[in-house]
Parts: sequence; structure tokens; C-alpha cells
Amino acid sequence: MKEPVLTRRGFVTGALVTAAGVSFTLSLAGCKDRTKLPDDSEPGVELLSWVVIHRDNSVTLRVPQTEIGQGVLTTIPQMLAEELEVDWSTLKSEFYDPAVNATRGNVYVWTAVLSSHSAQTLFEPTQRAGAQVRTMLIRAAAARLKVPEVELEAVKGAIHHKASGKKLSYASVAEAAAKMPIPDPKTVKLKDAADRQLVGKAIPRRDVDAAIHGKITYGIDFELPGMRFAAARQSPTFGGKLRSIDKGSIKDMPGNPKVVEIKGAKVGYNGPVPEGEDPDVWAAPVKMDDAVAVVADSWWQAKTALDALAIDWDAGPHAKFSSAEYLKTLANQARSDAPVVVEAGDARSALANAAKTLSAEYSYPYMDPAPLEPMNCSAYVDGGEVHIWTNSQFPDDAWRIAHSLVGVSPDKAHVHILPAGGGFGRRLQNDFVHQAVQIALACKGTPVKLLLTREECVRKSYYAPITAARFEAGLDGAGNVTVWTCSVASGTSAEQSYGETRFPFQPPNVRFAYKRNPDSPLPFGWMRGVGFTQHLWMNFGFLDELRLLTGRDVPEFYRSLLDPSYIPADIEDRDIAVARVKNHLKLLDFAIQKGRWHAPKGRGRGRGLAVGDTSYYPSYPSSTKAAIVDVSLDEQAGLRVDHVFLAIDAGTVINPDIVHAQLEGGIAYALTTALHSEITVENGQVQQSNFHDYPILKLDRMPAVTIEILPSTEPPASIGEDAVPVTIAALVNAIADAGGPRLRTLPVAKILAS
Amino acid sequence: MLEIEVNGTKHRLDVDPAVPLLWVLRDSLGLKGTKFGCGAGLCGACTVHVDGAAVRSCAYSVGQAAGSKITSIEGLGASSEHPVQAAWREAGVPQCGYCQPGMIMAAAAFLRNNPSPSDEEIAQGVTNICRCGTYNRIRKAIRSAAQSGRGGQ
Ligand code: FES
Ligand code: FES
Repeated sequence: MKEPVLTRRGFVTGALVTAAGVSFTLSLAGCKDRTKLPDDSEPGVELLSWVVIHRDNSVTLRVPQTEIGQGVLTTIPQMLAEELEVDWSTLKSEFYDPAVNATRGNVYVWTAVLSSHSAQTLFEPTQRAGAQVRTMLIRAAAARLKVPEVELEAVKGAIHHKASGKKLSYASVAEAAAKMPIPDPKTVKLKDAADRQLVGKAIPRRDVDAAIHGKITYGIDFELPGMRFAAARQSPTFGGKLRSIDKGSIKDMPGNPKVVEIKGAKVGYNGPVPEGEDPDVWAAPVKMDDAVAVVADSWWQAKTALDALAIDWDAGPHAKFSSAEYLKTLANQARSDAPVVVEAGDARSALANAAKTLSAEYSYPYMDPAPLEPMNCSAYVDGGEVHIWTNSQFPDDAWRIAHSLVGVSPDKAHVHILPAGGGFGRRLQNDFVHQAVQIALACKGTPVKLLLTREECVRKSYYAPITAARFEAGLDGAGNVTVWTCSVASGTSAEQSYGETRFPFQPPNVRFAYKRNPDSPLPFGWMRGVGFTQHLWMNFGFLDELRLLTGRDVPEFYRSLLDPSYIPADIEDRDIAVARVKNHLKLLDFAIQKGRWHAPKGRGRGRGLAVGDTSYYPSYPSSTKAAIVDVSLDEQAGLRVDHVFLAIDAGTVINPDIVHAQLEGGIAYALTTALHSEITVENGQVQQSNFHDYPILKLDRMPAVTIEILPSTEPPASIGEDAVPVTIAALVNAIADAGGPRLRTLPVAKILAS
Repeated sequence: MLEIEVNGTKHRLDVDPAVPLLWVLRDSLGLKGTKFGCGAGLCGACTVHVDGAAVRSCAYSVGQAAGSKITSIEGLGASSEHPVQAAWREAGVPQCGYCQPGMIMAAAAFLRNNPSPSDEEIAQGVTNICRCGTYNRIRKAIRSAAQSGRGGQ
């Protein structure tokens, strides 16, 4: 293998969206030069970890999140630049460096692409950082010009002194500014909302040109000179072990194939865990099984050799696992074993005294988030250093994996973030990083890119948990709900009891039980909308079943349960709970009016309504949204989703066009989830493998969409996941309204076909 | 030795003719704009034009492509931006962007055959997967490219 020669071309293919790294250098063993990475311009002056000002007065902003399609390469610069006062058209951006984040005490605040959290958590800190930097630049200019700071104004990358007409570019004072004392972030002055120039504007995404010309360098596109390529396959069963490999079976194949054994491991957790908290509540352990990789001169050669490789697996303890059988076990647990987690009033006697009771069992299958770009990661280990190039949604942990696995000090591990072709939660599990580093360790001195096939991605993913739920509720003689109970059992999962307990449609008597099975065979993973996606449609489905017993009208029935007086007087944060119920009422009323709930509908048409938020616990702020879904159901033509109306109150909106796109995309994601998605397991192996048996909604089935964003001056709230749970919930009730079946499990297409 | 013409440039390649065109474009020729999504002809992320027709290059061997004129996203609208790309920008279609090169190639070939399609024809004619769900903007961009009367270029 030749020594790798680093060229700029190797690093910079998409000018806009390159890997992070203006401020540090990469040295590869055997390279005489220390090569700057990746920017062609001089390093520039760094201000407060967030901003780099270059000699040509261009400005680079650090984006502390991986771009996975949610638009952070545009929205975060909008927030930062708002207070920094720079010329938008000359801005550059780069992804943050996880090592910097770690060594500077989490300076980037929130770096995992998780919980639709970026705008919410970064809105204040980015504006304050922008204002701090602006203040430092002004101070430096004041010293240079010998005028008071108040006479100076920052406009488009320069400091102006009106009285004298003098003007200093940011670049000319950047070095002096870097030496200024750092202003207190709490006291820097931020603009009034009405004066904002960038936040709240539908600015086109900064990466749109690169995207439409095929010029974004995603993880899969990254390449270095001298690179070798790996394909890998984990044990086909969960918990299986590698017994032996017949390496001879591929030794004469082209591309110098080399076999690497990858050890199964606990990779880490799939999200950041706040200090002192129980990791098993906040996240889930990420485990991966033994795997075999083949490394070759091209990926196709590696994949072909891997396909030909004779591997002997010990199928392990779950060789007979069947998801259909397991669901029966979970249904039993939901009926009997699940421990009570929340209770109010007296559910038992309320049920005993009810004029009518109703019970029903619901379930949710395993699912794979399935972003379009298959999992991949590039890695290079040599000379006591490790580099990885990844589009992980959790780069901080990718960095930890890199240095701990290679056994070097943290400062010898370098993570270069690249954009991702979608994430939807899948890339929060860093199994592919762990695998790539293990491969690179076996190929020291050679950069290696690991790429998994779609089949491998579907069969060895991290799955939304299989879930069974049992509801029971009671009505009084007047058709009022007096008691609501739900008991849930799921496979391996993060703590997701909020899916049932946080449903705000609660009469005075409630009881919730929840059990999860941490050692069930399939590993858990985050999937867009998480526990709310799994549960909200069940909650609304059963609520609708109850309503049909009463003959009451949908909005009126919903309103009767959104009653603040039902909230127990003695609970903690009662005011937050009351506000939450009121937000639901507000969105309900808005949707009914703007979403034309009462408009006439023809035969075979159905309409469903749902309201929800993604508030995991009382103090967790969330947007609130409502969906109205219209469907037609026809013997011949089957189901058609005709229209989805979605209203959202998400606080201050950073970029309405991006919000619109995210919600529209969320609706499509909801429809795929509800109509098509199901992972089944027989004999320990996932039965699906690609988009023919794990289908994704296509253009022909995409409904017309109307989106309403409510004006607000509150802080920004979640967007990315938010359309998913309410859309599914409204859909299942619309199908029942159209005369279709009551859906108590998914996917819909399979049920309608049976 | 096998000869293919890609974006107007002829290449003589020493490759196994069974290798899918996708991997030759991406890895032998360094044209990374053409994407891998499924490897089984199911998603269209790898769509290119072979003698003007949309082809899913992951399920099309380089041997089959020998002697043909291939256009990848890098060569679409070689001298100036293709009207479909202009319509895409105008409609702000991409989210993650990963499906978009294939989607644009599919749309351009579709419009060449049917310069003023109905919505139903668009729905039936463009069958690529966008996991981010940009479909309504795709539909809008195709309509506007068609209306500009230049989409069929
Ligand atoms: S990668 Fe070729 S169709 Fe999916
Ligand atoms: S934009 Fe992400 S897959 Fe289409």
C-alpha cells in the first residue's frame, strides 16, 4: 500500500459543506507536510469557538449539528449571523469539532441530532455568541479608532464610525478582538424580535445549489488517496457469534480482499446522558453483534467477496425468535404483568361503577428508520492518531468511540463531520463508527471506508420497539368518559411510558402501566417521533372507539376531555399541565376552523382529527400541533389519502420555508410508517431486506398538504419529528370514518389487503 | 478494455463488464453525484441517462453501457444549468438532498418524453424514492419546468 498523499481535492469536493477543521491540522504518517484541513484559505481568527474571521473578511460559522436534511446548515447560521451582523452572501459554515466541544466544556450546548432540539436549545446561545463576538469586534475597533464604543455600529462585516465616516472591516480588527475580554453572555444586548433581519425569514437553504448539482460530499462520497473499501455483515441472528471463516474461499478474488473480524460490542448509548442521570432512562445501550468485513481495492470487489465468503455463525440464544410469537408474549404482559407507573383518582372503582366499559388491544411492529443513504464511515488509524469521517447524528460519542477503541489520548482522535442522506434517528446509534474503527485498526496506515448494503441496513438496524397495549375505559350514563387506563409492554426500548402517560385527554380517574424488556433480541433505536409515533395513534384510535359508543361529535368529545378541572389539584407543575391542555384546545379550535373540519364529504370519504405535542415530561417544552386527514376508501381503488392539514404552534420560527418542508416531509414519513412499515423476524432473522418488502411512500401516493404555522413570539420549539405522530393518529380515525376497519395494529396496507 | 462515453468524454476502462455502471461512475470515474440507495433498482438514487433514457445504474452493468452515451448529474445541462435544476432551485426541493440527483435525472428524462404531463402522468412517471418526502415540491418543480416549455431539453 502506498503512503497516502493528502491533497486538497481529497478533502474538499463540496465547497459549501465540507468537513470541519479550519482550526486544526491533520498529519498522516509518512507525510512530510502538516496539511491544513480542509479550507484553502488561511486559518483565520477564531472567536469564541463559534466564529472564524478570515483575512479576506469572509466569515465561517461553526454549526454544532450534523446536517441530515433538517436544514441546520442554514438555520443555525441564521441565528448566529443575526447578532453578528455579517453579509449573508459571503458566509461560510463548517461542522463543529467534537474534540473541541469536549475540551471546552460542551461549548456547543447541544450537538446530538436528537429530539428535534436544535432550534430550541441553540436559539439563545447562538444569538448570544453572535452578540458577544460583535461586541468584541466593536471594542477592538473603538480602541483602534480611539472613539467610544457607542459611536460605532456593526454592519455587514464592518464597523462603522458615522461621525468620521471611517470603516474597519471585521478582518482588520479580528486579531485584536480575540484578545478582548469576553463579554458576559447574559448582558449582551440582543435585538428586539421586530428588528431581526434573518431569523424568521424564508431564506433559501444554503446547500440547495450543491444538492441539485450532485455536489454535496456525503459520508458515502468521502474519499482519500490510497483508500481501501470495506463491506461488512453482522451475524444474521441477534446475539449470534462468529464461529469461523473460510478465508480461502475468496483469496483469488480481485481487489486483494482482506478479511477482518469485527467483535460484537457495547458501542455506547444512543444519546447524551445528563450528568448524574440514569443512562438507561435517558437513552438505550447500543449493542452490536460480531461481524465480518472484507476490505478490497474497490467497494464492489469488497461486497462481491463478502457475498462469496463462507462464514460459519453460531446462531446464538435467539435462533428461534419470532416477532409474531413475541408480540403474543407482550400482549400477555400488557394484560397482566406491567407495573403501574402513573395513577390518579380511583380507576378500579370507576371501572366497576361505569355505565359502559370498553377494552381493546393495540400493537405496533418493529420498524427501521431507513434513511436513504446507507450507513457508512471512513476511518484512518496510524502513528498513534485516529481520524474518522462520519455523518453520525451523535458525533460526540463517535469521537469517544474513536479514541477509546484505538487506545489513544482524546486529543489524538479527530472526527470530521459530513452531511447525511437522512437520519431519522438511525444514525444516533454509532455501530457503523465502531465497525469502521475496528477495520481501520486492522489496516493501520491505510484509510478505509466502510459502506453497508441496504440489505445489511434493514436486517441489522436499530428498531422502533415492538409494542402491545391494552386499553380499558368507562363511560357514565350521559356518555362522559369517567376512567381511562392503558397498559403497555414493549421489547427493548428506552423508557417510553410517556407515550401513554402524557396523553392529555384524561378524565379524573386514570391508570397507566408500563413494562419494557431490556433483553429482548432486537436492539432499540430512535425513529422519528419516537414513543409518540408508536402511541399517539393508539390513544386516538381507542378514544374514537369510545366516542362511537357515545354518538358524540368528534371536536365536542375531544373538548370534554381537555378540561383543566380534571387535572389533580395536588400535582407538581399544575400550571404547566393546565397550559398544556389549553394549548391543545387552541390547536383543536384552530384546526377545526382553518382545516375545514365541517366541510361536507362525499360517500366513501373519511376524516380524522388529532392534536398532540411531544412533551416527554411536564417541564419539557414542545410545539403543539393538530392534523386533519382526509381519505377515500373504495372497494376497487383501495385507500387514498387525499389531503393532510397540519397546524403547528412551534414558537418563534427560524425559517418558515424549512419548517414547511420538515412538516411536509414528516407527513410523508408518517404515511410510510402507518401504511407500509413493518419489520418481522422469523427463526431469529429479519425477513425484510430492501425497498421491495420494506416499501417507502412514493410520489403517486403523496397527498395534497396544507400547513399553517401559528404566529408566536415564544422561544422556538420542536419541528423535525412533530408532524409524524398526529398525522398517523388522524389517519387511522379517518379510515374508520370512511367505513374502513378500526386499525389496532400497523401497517395499514397489510390489513386492508387481508 | 471497455469504452464508455460519460458526459461527453470517452473513457477506456479495464473493468469487469459485470460491475454495475453505478460503481464505475462513482469509483472508477469519481463521479460521486450519482448515489447508492438500494443497489437493487428500487429507489432510483442512482438514475443516469443512457442514450437519453433514464436508467437505474445500480442494476445496469457497465458491459451493457459499453458504446453508449451516458449522462450523469454532473453532465446534465453541461453548458448551463438544466431547466429542471432551475425549477428545483425555485421550488426549494431538497431536504437531505441525497435522492435529488437521481430524482432530477429521472424528471429530466421523463419531461423529454412527455413535455407537458398531467399530474397523474407525473405521479406514474417519476417513481424514485425520496425518504425525506419532498414529493409535493418535486411535483411543483416538474410542473413549472414543463410550463417553462424548456423542461424537455
Ligand atoms: S441505488 Fe439504484 S435504484 Fe436504488
Ligand atoms: S431529499 Fe432526502 S431522500 Fe430526498
